Amino acid sequence: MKNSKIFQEIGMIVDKEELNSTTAIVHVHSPNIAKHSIPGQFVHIRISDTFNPLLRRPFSIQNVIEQDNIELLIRSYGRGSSYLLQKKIGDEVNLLGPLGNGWSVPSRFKTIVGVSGGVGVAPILFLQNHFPENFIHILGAKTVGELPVSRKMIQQYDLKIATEDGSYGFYGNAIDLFLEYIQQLDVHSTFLVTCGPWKMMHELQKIAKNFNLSGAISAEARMGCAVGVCQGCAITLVTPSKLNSCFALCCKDGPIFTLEQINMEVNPFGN
Amino acid sequence: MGIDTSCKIGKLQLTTPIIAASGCFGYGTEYSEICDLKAFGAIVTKTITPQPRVGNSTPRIWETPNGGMLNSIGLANVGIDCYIKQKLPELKNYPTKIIVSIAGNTISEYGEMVEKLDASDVWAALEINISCPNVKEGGISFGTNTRMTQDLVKICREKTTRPIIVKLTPMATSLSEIAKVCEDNGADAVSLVNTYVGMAIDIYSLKPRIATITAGYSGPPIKPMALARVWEVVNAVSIPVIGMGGICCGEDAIEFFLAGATAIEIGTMIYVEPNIAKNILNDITHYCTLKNLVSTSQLAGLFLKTREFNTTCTISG
Ligand SMILES: Cc1cc2nc3c(=O)[nH]c(=O)nc-3n(C[C@H](O)[C@H](O)[C@H](O)COP(=O)(O)OP(=O)(O)OC[C@H]3O[C@@H](n4cnc5c(N)ncnc54)[C@H](O)[C@@H]3O)c2cc1C
Ligand SMILES: Cc1cc2nc3c(=O)[nH]c(=O)nc-3n(C[C@H](O)[C@H](O)[C@H](O)COP(=O)(O)O)c2cc1C
Ligand code: FES
Repeated sequence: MKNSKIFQEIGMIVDKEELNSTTAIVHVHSPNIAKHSIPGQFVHIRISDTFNPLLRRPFSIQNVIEQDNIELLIRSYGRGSSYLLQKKIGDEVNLLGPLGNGWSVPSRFKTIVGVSGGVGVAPILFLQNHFPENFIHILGAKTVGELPVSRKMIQQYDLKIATEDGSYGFYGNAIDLFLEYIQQLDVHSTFLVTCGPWKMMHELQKIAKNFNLSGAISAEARMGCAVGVCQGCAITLVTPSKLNSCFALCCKDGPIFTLEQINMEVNPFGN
Repeated sequence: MGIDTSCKIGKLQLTTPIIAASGCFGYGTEYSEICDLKAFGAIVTKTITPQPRVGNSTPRIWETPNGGMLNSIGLANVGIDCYIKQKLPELKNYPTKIIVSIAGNTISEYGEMVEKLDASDVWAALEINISCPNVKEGGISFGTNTRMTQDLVKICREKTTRPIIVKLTPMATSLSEIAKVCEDNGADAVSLVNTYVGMAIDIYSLKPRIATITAGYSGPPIKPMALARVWEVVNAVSIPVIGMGGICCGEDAIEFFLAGATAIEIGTMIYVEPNIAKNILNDITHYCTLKNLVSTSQLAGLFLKTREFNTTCTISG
């Protein structure tokens, strides 16, 4: 599902839905990026015209709406993301995108299971939009107040929710809930996709290996350029790839990697 | 009336005095879709080494809260053979001049690289990187040592007739001396600054922000320090000086020209705004119009003239 055309576009926020105090869904009018985006890709956002922050910040594309708008899911984490969340309808957003490789699900798989943690739900919802049939989507959050989706979306996507404090849906984390489902699945025709905290994805990688389950993850790393220039976003691989390198670039070779590719013992943000 | 933006760095003739800095424009093609290449007089490609390098362990970058950037990439690159075979040919007939950046582990490796490169006619000049802070060999140690700099420039000079630019580190105490050595041994120009050495710690996890602990520091906060070092070198040598370090807008670039730089390079800011060179070029020509200049190359004279009236005030603090 490779798509290489990149645009720089000044988009405009046309809609904003606050899900809770730290998370919002934002619709940005950016026709070029919207037209060329595929599930799993992201945009790199210049948050301020000043140097606070300096570098752009990466955000997954959660959906494309009416061809011209992209939907983003933004959680305030540090400086950059919280400034971005302060933007209102009518404000401009300086975007670079669509970036990265996008999901690729081999056609022999008949069922997709998505396991998302927090805002990791974004790239998986976009994929689900393309494969609405036979898609089981498990979403974990700490507590109901931190769910990164609206009640409407829970129904629309038939999300299987797990909360760690049991305040909504299944009492436990996303992995516990996934283990409940895995028994019923035919591993040969099921493809696992995951995005969320590194620890969760690492755990899933081990489980998938035990069950002989194929799949892919959407990885995260700090990014400078997001177009394969700075080499700042290196992800450590299990087996060396091209050039015998033990690294791949999250922004260009990824952010989607197969479960087998990544050495998840090495957290790209530091162990 | 249009402002003449052409620029001469020794024998190297450029259409604009703006150059993309090494490590910030990849192998030259990555940004071609979103960038107006014609704003750049030249681009310096990522530093290449005799063998491919996979780079340092992760994390490799960190943004400092004051709008600076720390990086420790470790000169990840495809190696000279692959570069010559695959990367350089893609830049044939490019709308901007190509400057090749090289770094070796030993002095003779630099020489061997120049020899290999000389067979290709795609590139217009060499930038010899003797200033990378993130690799032990071939890095900053060359750039802080006059003797090694001398041998290195000499050997490269013997291997090519094309212009040689030596990229200096601001970490050298005797920077003027190093620059002079480059001039005396046949360098056509010097460029500076490469990154400063910097560091950041996560005070909660008690871990370094960058795996190698110390890293190269770049971006807007280094500009005043870089400008001072460029000024220092401009006053020490008579070959052209290419200035860089934290340039992010027209005003920044103009300051470097006023301090005597013949051309400027843009690094970190390209990640932020890939098309920044075009904006900077517009700002520079606008400024020239304001000052009744007909060419950007006249900028250097402006400040040097006023300086003559102010030579007494040198001590501060
Ligand atoms: C491909 C990709 C897709 C993403 N999609 C989303 C999304 O859909 N919704 C969302 O809310 N967040 C997403 N993130 C995470 C988001 O980019 C970070 O939360 C954000 O960069 C944090 O910046 P900050 O200034 O708020 O935090 P700070 O901690 O102040 O940032 C400091 C530095 O670390 C980097 N950084 C910190 N956390 C992350 C992280 N998790 N991933 C990458 N860089 C990080 C920042 O970019 C910055 O360079 C995505 C990250 C990647 C790599
Ligand atoms: C991520 C990154 C990688 C770099 N790689 C190189 C390199 O390979 N060779 C080199 O000579 N300079 C390299 N530099 C240094 C820049 O070319 C430039 O000298 C420095 O960043 C200062 O300019 P700036 O503040 O405009 O970025 C790199 C800088 C950054 C931020
Ligand atoms: S972020 Fe620059 S190479 Fe990936």
